Amino acid sequence: MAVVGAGVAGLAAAQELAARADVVVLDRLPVPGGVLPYDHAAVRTLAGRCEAAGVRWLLGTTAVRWEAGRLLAVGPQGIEWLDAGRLVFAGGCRPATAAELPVAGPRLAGVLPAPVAIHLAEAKVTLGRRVAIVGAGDWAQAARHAIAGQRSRVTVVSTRGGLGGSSPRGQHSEPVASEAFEGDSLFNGWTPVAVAGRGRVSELVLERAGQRHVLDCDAVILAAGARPLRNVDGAIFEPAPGVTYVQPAAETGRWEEVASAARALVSQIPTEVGT
Amino acid sequence: MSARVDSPAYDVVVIGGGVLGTAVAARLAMTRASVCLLEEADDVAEGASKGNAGIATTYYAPPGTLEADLIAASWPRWEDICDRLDVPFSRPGALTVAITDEQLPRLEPICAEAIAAGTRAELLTGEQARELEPMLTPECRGAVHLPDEGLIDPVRLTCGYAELAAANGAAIRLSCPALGFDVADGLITAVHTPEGSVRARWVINASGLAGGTISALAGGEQMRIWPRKGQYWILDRAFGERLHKMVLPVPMPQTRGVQVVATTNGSALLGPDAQEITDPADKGTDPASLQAILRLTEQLVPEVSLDYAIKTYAANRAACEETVRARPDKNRPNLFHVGNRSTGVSSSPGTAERVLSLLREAGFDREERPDPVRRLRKVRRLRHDPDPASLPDADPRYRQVVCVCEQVTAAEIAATFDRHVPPRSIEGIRKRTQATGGRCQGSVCMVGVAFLCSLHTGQPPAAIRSGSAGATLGVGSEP
Repeated sequence: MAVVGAGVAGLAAAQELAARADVVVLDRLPVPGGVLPYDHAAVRTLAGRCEAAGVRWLLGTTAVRWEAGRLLAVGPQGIEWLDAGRLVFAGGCRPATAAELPVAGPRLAGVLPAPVAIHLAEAKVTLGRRVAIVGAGDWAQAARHAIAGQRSRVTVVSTRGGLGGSSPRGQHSEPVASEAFEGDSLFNGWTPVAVAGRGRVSELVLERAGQRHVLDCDAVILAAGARPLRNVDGAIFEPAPGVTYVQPAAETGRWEEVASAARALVSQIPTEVGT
Repeated sequence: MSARVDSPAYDVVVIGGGVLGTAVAARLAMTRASVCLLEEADDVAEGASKGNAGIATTYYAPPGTLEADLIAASWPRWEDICDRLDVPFSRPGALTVAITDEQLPRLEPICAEAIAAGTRAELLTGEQARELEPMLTPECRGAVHLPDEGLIDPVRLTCGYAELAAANGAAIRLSCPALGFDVADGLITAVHTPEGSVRARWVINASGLAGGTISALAGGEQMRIWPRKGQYWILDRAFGERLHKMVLPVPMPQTRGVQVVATTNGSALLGPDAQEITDPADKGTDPASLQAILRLTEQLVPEVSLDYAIKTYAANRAACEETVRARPDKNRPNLFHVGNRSTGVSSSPGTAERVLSLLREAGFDREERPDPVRRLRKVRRLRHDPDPASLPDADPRYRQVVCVCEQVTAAEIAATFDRHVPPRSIEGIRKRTQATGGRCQGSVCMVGVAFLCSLHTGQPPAAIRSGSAGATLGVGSEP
């Protein structure tokens, strides 16, 4: 069996499966961990258990195409088809794209998915002087943290009633970690509907119950509406033949819950497959 | 600001780096003429040439029209041209579909006219049409089948023309708009640009939406050209790769109507609609139009679904009363107007030949070069290569996937910089490779693409341009 993704879900799935099949774990990054750091205690524990169970690693290796019984893998070792009876896909989540939210408007500079914004900010790129963050969950908070040193004016737009953004726990209950946005302007319960600008974004249009508000901005960070990240051809939509998806429904979760959910999902894979 | 004697001099200056301007430049550069192409944006294919459905049509206009002649002179050549210029192309054929009894009688004249225009066409029953395209609506009453209709990558075609022109010595000047003209004895003698003047014996006005402005600046005819906006949905390959045929409605007066067509990349396009607007820079989408497009395409292919939607976009065609132009100006005999409100891609090779013969009639005397560059180096691509395992032997950078959704490697991105007309922005890389243009819209790869762009251009990441309008990833580092 091939497990794509060496985050907590992928590692837990691999460990579970290793008891009854040959398992190889692939990840685009050269170290396990996914969204957690590679030296996080949970990652070290899970990776150690995989190791002990005989899991093989193909790190720094990107899976690009799944066909019945084989997976095209591209990495330092070269480009090769791996034989596998089943693909267990644990690719994590990404924020919704502008089209998915949906936010209308042209392709503009300054409109960035949160993971891109965070990486660029870490590379000392000043994203904007007037930054709008769409979403208030973990990506939004991480993006806010990443641009903290840029002295930008920040506005947070949370489509849901309370701050908490796209993660399920925020949907019903407590405003989460609003201290992350202390001093920022907050637009709770507003829905972003369009961006506008010439070359660079200059406006984010918001709506709430028939009201309309135009935010003046020069950067928009898309950090809402978690979607499972799917990028292996042949394993995009459900159901896909020979594929088990092990992906959390939201951007975050307690890692123990993610791991046990992953174990439960792969335990349903019929035993004869891959043995 | 007259041109100085020592200003660079060219036989031909082409204004506009869209599909028509680059096609003309590529053709003229195969003669002994010296050619300069001026483009206002920082890349070629920045107007209607990048925002169209990528159809290489075989029939659009009645026989005997200029448009029909230009298309007829173009479509049989695509296999050869696309092979030489490394442009994705296929010929799946198209179905023009009647979905009501009222539409049914309109099919026969379409079929007859297509045959008269020189292409193959056949009338099909609804059942026959659904055999060719099983996803077609059961409401289909009948269809015209045009088996030779092609799909082409219009951006790669435009880049290919520009590259071929440059390989044959043409100067491609980007971010270099034509600002004015010198005229003597009724003829244009020089074109003013922000980088100084260029002297010209012949000037080609292939500037799309700016065509009227350019003509006026040159003292040429008045031409009213306005933007006709078209919006599109892009749907995932998982849907697009199931399409066998392009599916078109019975045409409307201004446009072919809203279509369901695959792209050469495997994704599918829904659109375009047609909206007359006034601001050429308005490329915004709006939810109402996009919903209307969805409704119209559902009538043709019921399985169309937003579950597959990746992106929406809008682009502006250059509408004009004179829908297709390839002719000299009435006031300025050495100025030629080239333009097309819809079939620019489909007629580009024929238009380029037409311009050359018109120039010859007007006294252009440069002979064909004995041995011009005709073919560009092919770039192997991970997603399409029949033998992916052997790619790293050709270039070790094939082992590094940058854009996972579109399966674009560092080797393919590097190859775009090893060109006469390299990308200058993340958008430029997307246009040439599809990187950042896939399902996640750059969520995973845009940083990697930006860093590679930085590596190849020597600019810091903050100064990397996002799109052609010059806006950068970071603020505070604009030129």
